[in-house]
Amino acid sequence: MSGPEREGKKFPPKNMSQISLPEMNKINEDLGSRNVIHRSKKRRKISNVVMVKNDNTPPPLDLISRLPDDVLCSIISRLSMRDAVSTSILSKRWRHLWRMSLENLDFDEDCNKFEGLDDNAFVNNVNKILAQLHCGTTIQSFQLQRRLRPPQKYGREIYKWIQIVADKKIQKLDINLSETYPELEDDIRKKLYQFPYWLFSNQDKGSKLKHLTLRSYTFNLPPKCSHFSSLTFLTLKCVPLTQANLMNILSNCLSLQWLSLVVCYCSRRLKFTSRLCSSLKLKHLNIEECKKLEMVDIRDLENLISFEFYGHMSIELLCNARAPVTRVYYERHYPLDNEFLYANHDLQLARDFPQLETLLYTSPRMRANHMPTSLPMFANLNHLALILYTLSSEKTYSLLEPMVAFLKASPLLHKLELHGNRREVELVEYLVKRTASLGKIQLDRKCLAYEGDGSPIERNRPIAVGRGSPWTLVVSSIKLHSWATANLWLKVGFAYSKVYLF
Amino acid sequence: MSSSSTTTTTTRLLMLKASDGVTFEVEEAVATKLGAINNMVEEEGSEDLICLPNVNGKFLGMVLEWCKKHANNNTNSDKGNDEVNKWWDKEFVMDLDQNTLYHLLMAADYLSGTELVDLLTEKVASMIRGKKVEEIRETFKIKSDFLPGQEEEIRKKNSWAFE
Repeated sequence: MSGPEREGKKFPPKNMSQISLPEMNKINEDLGSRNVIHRSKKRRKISNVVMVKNDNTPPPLDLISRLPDDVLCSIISRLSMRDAVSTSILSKRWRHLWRMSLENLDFDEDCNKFEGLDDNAFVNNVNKILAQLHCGTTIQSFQLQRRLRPPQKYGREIYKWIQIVADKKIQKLDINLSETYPELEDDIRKKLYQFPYWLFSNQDKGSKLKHLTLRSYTFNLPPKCSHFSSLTFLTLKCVPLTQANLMNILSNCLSLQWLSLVVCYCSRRLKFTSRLCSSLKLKHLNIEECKKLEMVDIRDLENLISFEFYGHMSIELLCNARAPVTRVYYERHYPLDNEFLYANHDLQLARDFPQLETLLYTSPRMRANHMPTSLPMFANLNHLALILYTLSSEKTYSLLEPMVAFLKASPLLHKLELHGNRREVELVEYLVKRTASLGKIQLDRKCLAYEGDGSPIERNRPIAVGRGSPWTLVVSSIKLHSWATANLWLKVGFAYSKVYLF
Repeated sequence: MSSSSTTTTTTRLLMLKASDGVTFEVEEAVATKLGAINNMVEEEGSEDLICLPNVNGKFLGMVLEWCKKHANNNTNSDKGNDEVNKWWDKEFVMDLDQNTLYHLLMAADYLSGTELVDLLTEKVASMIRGKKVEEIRETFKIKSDFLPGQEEEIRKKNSWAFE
């Protein structure tokens, strides 16, 4: 029904400050510890305030409807589309207010009760709502999530919607026209919708569009196009992307700081570069499961801070060691029988990103024999999160040896997270023995995975349990901890303040 | 109240006079959190006494209390303070009855206290969210003044929102 997650302002969405690793500590909202506001008990007679009766007791009056239009509009603008529209039948006073205040239009078939409608009814509803919006109003966001096929049938409608919201100076546009990732074979790609970028032209300046997310679309900008001068966040999913497309995007979207490419159908070689001499502002780049890709060249991204990569083992990465990359998410997939190759890739991380401070690393099958006993130094690494997943049928291996290689190479590490349950008992034992100051061990049965672009997801499936069940683990670690406090010594020489084991 | 005044020696004090004659002496930095007062103060030769005939003393006091909190915390803007401010705000609006909420909103709107208006409108929005129309009417004592059949007509227009 109306869970809190669909309530409230979805805008503004994530920004750079939210690029962080899954933080587990929820702020404890301890209300009691705060100042108590002192309020005067004395009632004074209300004299001059507009339109209110001078009663001493608060009358059971409809005060809210007396608020000025702009205040009521501000209230309605904070509501979801559904709640905003439903205010129209409260009373005559409210009837038309939503039409000038609705700011976030969310046509997601999952919420807002659209899931039961067939495509035609859905399209009619979108049309109706857009038609009811007052002209001259601006809107913040438009989200369309619906598989509307074929494009020939609904293309004109969607085009019209984009035109309307572009005229309303939209800042955030999110269009997802498929619920699954299609195999982007050539004939299907030809049937994709084409994003009408030209609708965002503006005589004086470029459009106000800041966030754009497209799924199952084509996004081909011409070589010169100033329409997206404000665009800061761009996410493309299932979008065909050639080197020329990419170059045009990077050369035209001069404010672009965040670029995420998910299951895009790419040129074999992608070089992230611009035709202009000025350096690119891009700070976050995510390349996730892009098809056909063989080489990624990010050497021109001189301002990159965060880099996420999830792709096949054979993809070559060309990095710029001078780029200020401090945060990396890294995962490669390997064929099942090809387990010995990947250590080489992983060895490059320390060399490619010498300023690395936070590493989020997913490995399907981390084993002793994949890790050399010594890794190149991660001179600045202070936060390492390992996401390990096992098929429950698969044999589990001790994490100790591969982890020790990591730990030895990371002298400044002070926070370690392990997501996914394996044979950690040896590792905990090791940590406790060799750690100068062990601040905290936290155990959790939640299984956490990473969705990309800064958002962790919780996996609902039961976690693969290794040799010891989680409860055994708790007991052992506590025992080990108290035992080890007397024997603390660091042979390796690193100091932990926190150890998280999930 | 007990909040210590800032150490700067050149703090200008303003007198704000409410509709019922109650006056408040506040630092300029506090009062200028309100756009309307900021505009008056910026005018050349402005006086230190500002009359606010549309705001009752009780609510002006509360508005200024909010301003004081937020003006103080502006000076040292670290993240922790942001959190504290959020908590403070949350408590500020937590137990407001509708009468107070209404008058505070009117006062904040009149005085162009944009951030305070945001805080209070969000509070009202939170009282509406997820509720059925009848529940909203009940909460705010809103009486439907539609003609018979008219409401049904509007409902039909966007029927998905009422299912």
